[in-house]
Amino acid sequence: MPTPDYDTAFAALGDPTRRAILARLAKGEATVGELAEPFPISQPAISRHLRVLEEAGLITRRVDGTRRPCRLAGGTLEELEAWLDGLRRALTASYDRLDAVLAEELQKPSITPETDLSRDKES
Amino acid sequence: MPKPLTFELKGETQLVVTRDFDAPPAVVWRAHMEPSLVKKWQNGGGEGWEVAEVEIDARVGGRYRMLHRGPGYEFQITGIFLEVEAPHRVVQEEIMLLPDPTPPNIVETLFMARGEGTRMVMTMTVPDAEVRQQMMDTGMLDGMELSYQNLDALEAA
Repeated sequence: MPTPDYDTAFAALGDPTRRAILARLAKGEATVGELAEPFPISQPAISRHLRVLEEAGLITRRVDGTRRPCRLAGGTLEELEAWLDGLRRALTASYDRLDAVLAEELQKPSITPETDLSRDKES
Repeated sequence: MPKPLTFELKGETQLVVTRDFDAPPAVVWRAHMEPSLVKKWQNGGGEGWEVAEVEIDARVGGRYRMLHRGPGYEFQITGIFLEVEAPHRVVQEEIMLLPDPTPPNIVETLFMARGEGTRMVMTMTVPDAEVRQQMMDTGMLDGMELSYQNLDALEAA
């Protein structure tokens, strides 16, 4: 079991086909053939995407006779999503507060450069 | 009503944040560059967090520093301005002290006039896994419920 490489994981997520594969695997295990079905690309091309996802620690594959079904790897994707979600919520809250600051500023009479300078001073 | 934030991965390592504001670029710019205004809105995490110190020297080669202080913890965001084209574009090289310094992240922010308002487009590099974990651990990405309460308080004021 390789250590997940989170930066490879981000790169892996940059591709729409790979994101679609992950969305399909979120519903459960699937073989290469099953994964290739909805895409207008060849099975070897899907296999290449799966290799990228596997190296990124996003999926794992097990041996089942002649089949090598894929499934989502626990952990990596969740970590990325949690971080993105945390940042999104932090920025959303900040910019919502900025809206209020902007509204306050627009209420004020026009500001001269002199008052601007005095407002810059920090205690 | 708060405006939506668009948040998307671009290419393999970049994150693009887009947000509209009901104020012209000059006012949005000031809210980003004047310490007294920055203190009012910059996210400082959740309950008990504040932006305790802000210094901004908004010219090419100038530095900035924001000290966020929370219960039993503080972190700093520091950086240097690489390009400054007030009020429409700024490029910063940013380092967070969590408390160890993170690798520098180049952040480009555009403030484009859109009607009476501004569309902000901010492009940054996604930090590596270790930095992301530190950002989660510091609590700097937490505490949204309280932040929304702060917003309500500001609007009522």
